[in-house]
Amino acid sequence: MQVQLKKGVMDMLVLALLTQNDRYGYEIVSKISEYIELSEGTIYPLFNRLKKEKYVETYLLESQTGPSRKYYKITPNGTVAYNQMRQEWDGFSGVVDMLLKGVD
Amino acid sequence: MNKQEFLNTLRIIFKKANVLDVESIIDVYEEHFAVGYEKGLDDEQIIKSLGTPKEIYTSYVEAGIITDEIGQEGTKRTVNMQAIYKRLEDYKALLLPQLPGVAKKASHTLLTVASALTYIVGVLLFIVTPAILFLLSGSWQPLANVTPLPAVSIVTMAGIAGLGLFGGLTCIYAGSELNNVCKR
Repeated sequence: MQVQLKKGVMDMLVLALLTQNDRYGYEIVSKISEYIELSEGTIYPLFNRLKKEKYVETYLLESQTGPSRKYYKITPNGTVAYNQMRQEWDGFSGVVDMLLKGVD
Repeated sequence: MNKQEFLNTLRIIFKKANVLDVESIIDVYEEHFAVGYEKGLDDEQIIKSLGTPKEIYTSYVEAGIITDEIGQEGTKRTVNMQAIYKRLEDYKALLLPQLPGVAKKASHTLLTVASALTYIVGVLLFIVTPAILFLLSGSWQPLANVTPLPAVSIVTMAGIAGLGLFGGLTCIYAGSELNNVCKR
């Protein structure tokens, strides 16, 4: 899949995963790369940006098995942004699907 | 490549780009490795899934977290050159009107100094020549056990005296000339 196409939805996917529960970086990254083929290392800067935009917050949590992990938590701002992105996405993808089905 | 090499390469790339908080970025990947180990992965597998350091750097630039200093270097240099040229022009505009004044002042100072020096040399000649003549006229013996200087013929003495006299006069005359020039 084209890189540009992936990037557009990446923010939404990260926020979507965080609406379920707080997660640490590796968890989000590996979850996304399970479905979408891309270099895992390139997802991390999105967290920085989401944090800068105050869509997510971070906190450290000790892990029983290893060093402490940085957890990401969606903020109310982030939820609002996510809902908007989701709405736009649903609308857009619905239209695209409809068009494509008409062609097929 | 192992974890350390990977992180070092990453560190170097970010540092080259003058990124301020490189370690906070590196920390994120440290954690990624740590969790990867817990999942039973080794360095090679983790690095393969992470992507290349260059790719990671680019992703930070594209996410707007850092600005691409490396990429912009070319343009930055041009901008700098333009700024320097402009500054040069500013200096020129500032200095050129002052230049005649500065030159006049410099030549005035130079002439004054030269005139004073010539005066001093002239006066010194007047003082030193008689002293030399006096020393040469007697059989001067500075130290008791050293042979005295040989007596000098009257012609040589007259020559030295003339040299001193006219040299001194010339110098003093030249000094006054210079002084006049710089007063003009």
